[in-house]
Amino acid sequence: MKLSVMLGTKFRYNPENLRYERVKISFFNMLIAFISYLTFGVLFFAGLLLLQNYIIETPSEKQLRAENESLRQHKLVLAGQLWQSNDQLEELKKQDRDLYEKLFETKLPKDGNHSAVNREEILLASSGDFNKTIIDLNARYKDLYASAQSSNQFFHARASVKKEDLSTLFSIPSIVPVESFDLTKLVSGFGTRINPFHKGHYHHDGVDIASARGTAVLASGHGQVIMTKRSDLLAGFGNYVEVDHGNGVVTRYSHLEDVAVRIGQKIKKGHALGTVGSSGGSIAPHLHYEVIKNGTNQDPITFFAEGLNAGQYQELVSKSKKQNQSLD
Amino acid sequence: MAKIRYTYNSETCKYEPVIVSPKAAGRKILAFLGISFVIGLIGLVYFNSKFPYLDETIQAGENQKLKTEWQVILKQLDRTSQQLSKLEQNDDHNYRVILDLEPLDITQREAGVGGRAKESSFINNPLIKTAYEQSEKIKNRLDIEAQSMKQLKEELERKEKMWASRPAIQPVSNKDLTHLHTIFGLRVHPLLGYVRPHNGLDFTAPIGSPIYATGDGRVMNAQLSASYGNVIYLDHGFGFETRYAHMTHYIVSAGQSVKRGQIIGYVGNTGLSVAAHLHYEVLYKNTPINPINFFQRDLNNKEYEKLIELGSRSVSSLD
Repeated sequence: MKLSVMLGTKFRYNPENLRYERVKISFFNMLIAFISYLTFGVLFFAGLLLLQNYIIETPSEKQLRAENESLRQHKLVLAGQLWQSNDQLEELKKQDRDLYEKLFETKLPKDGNHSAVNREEILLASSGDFNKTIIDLNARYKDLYASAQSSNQFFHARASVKKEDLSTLFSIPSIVPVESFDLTKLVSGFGTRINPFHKGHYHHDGVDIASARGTAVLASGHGQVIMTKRSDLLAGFGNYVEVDHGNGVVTRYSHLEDVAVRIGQKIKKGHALGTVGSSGGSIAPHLHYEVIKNGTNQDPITFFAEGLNAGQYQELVSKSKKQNQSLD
Repeated sequence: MAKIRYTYNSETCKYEPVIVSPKAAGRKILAFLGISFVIGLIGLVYFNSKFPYLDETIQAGENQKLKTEWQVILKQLDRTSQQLSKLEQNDDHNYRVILDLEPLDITQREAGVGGRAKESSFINNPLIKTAYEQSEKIKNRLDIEAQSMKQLKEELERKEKMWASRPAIQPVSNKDLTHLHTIFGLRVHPLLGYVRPHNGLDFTAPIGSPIYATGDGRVMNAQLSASYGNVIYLDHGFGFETRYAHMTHYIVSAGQSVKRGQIIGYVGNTGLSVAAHLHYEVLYKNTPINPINFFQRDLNNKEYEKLIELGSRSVSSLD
């Protein structure tokens, strides 16, 4: 009994058998007690957590908060700047177009305006998918490029040339006759073009390759210089050079600034004949290049075989077909 | 009925009802709360040891989101820069080459016009700083490019004017032309009977055939001269001058501006002339040059008429 007293054992009066009965602590009671402790414990935990959050500011939190604040503020400023820049860029693109069309008297194809800035994109901020597409496309492009390269090598290794044919091969005017040529430099092709002076259509007997004054003009194949002429006249070919490549093929290089070869000189493919200029009836520094076979002018593009891959050649052909304004 | 609990009092050997005083009840509640508090506290300590502070997590999440958005901004800046580069390259490698102007170099382009406050210099955050620096560079380049475009436009306008004033067509239409005498230089004069330089070309055509100005210009002189008959002197600027002689009459007067293709008079036989024809001269810097170089003979009638029509319209400006 003493033990029960000490433990504060509780009794209950049972009126049915008129006896005091010991009150048993049931499992249910314990569970209730446990749950209530736990509930209050969780409540205290939550309260303390919030209190702690409210009172204590850790250094890293402080730093993050400040960074976020500035990120948020500057984002607005920068987005504003970006949109403004984009508007300016679009305006410049329009001007660029106008200038081009005016300069070459030709309409540019509408190429679905790709604005650099998509105003929704900043808000959406889901760039992952887009990136993935680009990476995939790039990979596919690389594969294609590699396979094209290897097939090139395949044919290169198998096409055989006899030794006596070599001189003929080398004398074919097959390279683009200006130094550091790129596709953007071909500005007008062979065929009916607009004359820059009177704006009428006429037959343009060669191709115009726009290049900076002083760019070297190269012989397109082995041959012999059969004509050099200097002329101050603001009409015609200006200073020009003609090279005979044998087999009835002659090339003419017009509107030169300087002529660096003399008549009768034997030259190799790639030899510098002079420099690009705007002499004669020309509106801009460029090389007017003609290929004449048996007295008839040919489309020089069809002779360009070296230094260009298939894609570049295709682009060159399509560029040369545009009926724009020529430079002479 | 309230459940009355009893305790056994071993001293009195009696069961006594337990009376819970308010004080005791309060103590009990306090104890309960205390224990709960301790449980909560233990929970908190454990939480703190395992996880970062709540605010930190929230801020970090926010940070993540903002940085993703900033990546987009950076990408767009990059794209803007790339498209701008394309324009600049077009400008430098195409327009400036063709218009015979020096290309601008990159330091010139990025330097900008000056006088702009640099926002980037006050910012420490590398992400923001980079973006601002990029944006500033782009802004500078845009300004330079806009200026450059303006310059190109002006230059093109100037050149267009120059090209339009260069003598470039036949002064008499092939429709009316019966013969073109291509003698230029020394020859025996048919009337005077001695060698005298022939400084132009003769276009034989019926009297009254229209004569067209061969380039834009200004009428310097329109007069009746003893040798040239009714003659018009056109000043095309840029060193070029053309003369149209032996007209029956002219329909422009000195000081008047004319366009290429505009009718200035009609073929006649006035002055020292043996038959109806136009004597046409081209002078560059006061020296006669063979006009054959200044028109295209293979131009067909339809093309020629189009040119005549083109000349009668005013030149369109670039804006």
